[in-house]
Amino acid sequence: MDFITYIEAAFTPFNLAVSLGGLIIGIILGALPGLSSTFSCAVMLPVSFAMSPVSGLIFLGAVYMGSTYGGSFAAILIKTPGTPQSITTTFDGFPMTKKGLGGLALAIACVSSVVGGIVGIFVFLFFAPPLAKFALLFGPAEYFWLALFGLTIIASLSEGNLIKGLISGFFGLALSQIGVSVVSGDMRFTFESTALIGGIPIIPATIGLLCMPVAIDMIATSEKHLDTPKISSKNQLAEAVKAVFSRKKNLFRSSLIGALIGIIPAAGGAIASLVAYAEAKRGARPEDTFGKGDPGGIVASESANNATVGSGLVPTFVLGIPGTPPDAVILGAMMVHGVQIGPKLFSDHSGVIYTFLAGITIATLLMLPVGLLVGKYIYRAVVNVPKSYLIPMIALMLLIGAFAIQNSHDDILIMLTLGVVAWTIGWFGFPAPPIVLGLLLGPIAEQGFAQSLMIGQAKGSVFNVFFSSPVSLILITLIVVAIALPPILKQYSVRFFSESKKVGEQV
Amino acid sequence: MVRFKNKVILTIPVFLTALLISNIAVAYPEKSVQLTVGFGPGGPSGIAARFMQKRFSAVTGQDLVIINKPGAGGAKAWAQIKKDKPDGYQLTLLNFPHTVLQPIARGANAGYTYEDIQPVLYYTSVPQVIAVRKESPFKTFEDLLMAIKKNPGKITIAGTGIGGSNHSAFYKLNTVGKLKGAYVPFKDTSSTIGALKSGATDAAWTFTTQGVKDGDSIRMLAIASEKRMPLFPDLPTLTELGFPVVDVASWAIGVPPGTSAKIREQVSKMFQKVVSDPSVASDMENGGYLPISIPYPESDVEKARLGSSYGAVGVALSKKN
Repeated sequence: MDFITYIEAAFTPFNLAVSLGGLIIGIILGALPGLSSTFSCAVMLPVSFAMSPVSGLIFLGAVYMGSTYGGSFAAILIKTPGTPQSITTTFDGFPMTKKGLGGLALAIACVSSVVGGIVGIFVFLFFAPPLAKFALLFGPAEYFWLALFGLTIIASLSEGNLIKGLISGFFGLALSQIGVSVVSGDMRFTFESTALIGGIPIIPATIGLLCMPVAIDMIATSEKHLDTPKISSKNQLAEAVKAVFSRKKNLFRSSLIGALIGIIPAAGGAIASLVAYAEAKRGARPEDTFGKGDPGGIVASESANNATVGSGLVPTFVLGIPGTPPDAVILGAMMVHGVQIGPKLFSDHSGVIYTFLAGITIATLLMLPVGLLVGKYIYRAVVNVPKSYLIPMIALMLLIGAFAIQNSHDDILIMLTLGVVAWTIGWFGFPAPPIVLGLLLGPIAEQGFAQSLMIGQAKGSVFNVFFSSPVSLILITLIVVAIALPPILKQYSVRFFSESKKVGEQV
Repeated sequence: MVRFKNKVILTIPVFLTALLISNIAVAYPEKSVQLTVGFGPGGPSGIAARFMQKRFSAVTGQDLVIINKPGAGGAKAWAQIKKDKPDGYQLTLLNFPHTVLQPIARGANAGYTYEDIQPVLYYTSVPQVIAVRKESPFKTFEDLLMAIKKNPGKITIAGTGIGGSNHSAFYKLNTVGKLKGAYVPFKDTSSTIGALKSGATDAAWTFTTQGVKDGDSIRMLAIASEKRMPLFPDLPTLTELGFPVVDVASWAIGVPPGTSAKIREQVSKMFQKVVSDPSVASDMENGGYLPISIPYPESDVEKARLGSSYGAVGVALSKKN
């Protein structure tokens, strides 16, 4: 395989520096409670514009990988997940800290993250090129079903209150109707305002809906953002490696679960770690003590969430539909750099893609030394940064990120408006991620539906267009499974689902 | 001696005047020039703008800063033109027939009118083509034609957008040939080609640029240009085939309304110098573009011609909906 030559291309001193820098920044941002991976990537988006397409993408990939791992710090040490992907890490991580094993728990999280991350990238390498050929079979009907499949994620995003989640989802679908209608050519809901003729742009909206409420909350609460933890500075790599690899089955099952869930449009790490944790618990050996400080819990959660990083790029690059919410930001970066996505990516821009993958592979491997040696110091530094420095920097980066995707001042206004809306409705328990999902998938579903209808009417059978292709049938089956599965999952894992109600709040 | 002195004295003001004139001529541009493009950097319009970037620096010593402002099929950028300074430094890439058709179809919601569109140099174009996927049973245009005639309203033809150039070419062929095809609109050129390749539609209207990019997976059947293109010598024109349909999308450098005639001429001349370079022309031709050159003030005549020829199509297309 040519992957070796691309590894060489990724190994320039600049790209290495970019990987390392992105990783450290990602760990710092991920360690801050509430700052999700989407947030971290959005904040760092403007920095990536100054680089070449490949370096910029490697940088964002490293930030994403680092923030996914960084989320485990606070989850393990103070029971405050830094990112939603790490909620399940608290279940066993914090009990371990209480037993005085915090340092070991961190090392286990690091090793599991590296393994999960590598599995995710391998899934991409082996699945994306054949899937790209498979994607050639995607016509309007298939895109319609795929978008519906993605929308079923709303159910898992709003565990706890499905009705409110659905209301948020429909609000997102309604927002997606603004602007020019592709299939009729009409202008909808623009009220003759030039700010709205382009519709609601997805990146500024994502930044507004998912990142702004967190920033507002940071300003609105006066407390220090983190407590100072007590960790021994002993290095426990050998012990951690032993703990992780004595759970090979758990490790690889969780990594694969993460990788597969990453491929589902807009699902992401939070759901992946939840499902992996539930599976690990179900397959527990008698001597395991899940929920009371079992290293296996951390292995499941952290390997699964890092595995979504690589595999989430499959639908992102192949179909142009983000696999995980941070991928929406990466997609925006690719647009700005003029890299066009789609099946042709693997022939036209294969250099960019494979060098990027080699770059994040290096970043993942760097996570081992960085996470183990510098991690604890990074965390201590994060604890001591005053909020009054942090917030203005974050606010500025969010504004630049929203503006720079389309060079439009209107987009800043749209971001700020949606941010305030999301923050306000958050008070009433309406989650923001389903809004983003509706906004993202609404147009794909609508266009696919209308185009299929037009083709069906011309051909004389609307039914055939929707229900005859094998790809459509596979997707319909997946939709049925996705709707039926959560209640079944719930039956055997009622206990920890109730603990993780918050999962949908800040994906 | 005296005569020689006189000659020298006479020469000085002539020389100074010449210097002054040449100075005015090279004074533009004295800083970088902005060119706003209403589409992303990777599509046909983004590429059309980037052809000029390198040569522009070589010719003028200044940078051509391309600002991609995508949205609403280019309208986000065109709605901005009337707010730009008419000083020759804030330019916008104009697409035709988009700028004719959108204000007709969208009315007050378009964000701009055809009066805001002020081209000073038409410099490149892409003819439209009707294409099928490689696996299609239609090997020639006649095959497709027979199928449409046999199954009126049943042969689906994909294209980008409603009331855009693909839709206009579809409408013209239907009218000229008294045919009835079924038009299915998609959001951008890559989705149109994606649908065609998947087999979801029988044929598609698209551009010659796609013939270059996707030549291995699609088959072009006929081209809607006046004569055959050097890059595709075997591709027959619709006119040769008995259907006089010519529909070519073109790009122009645009200035804000209210720009003086002098500045228009400066901008037009400057960009003409850039695009007339053989390297720029060959880049365009190899990418499937057809270089053209209609400078100011002839560009005003061309604008009026496009306005009236597409105006009728635009009204017909928006009535159909």
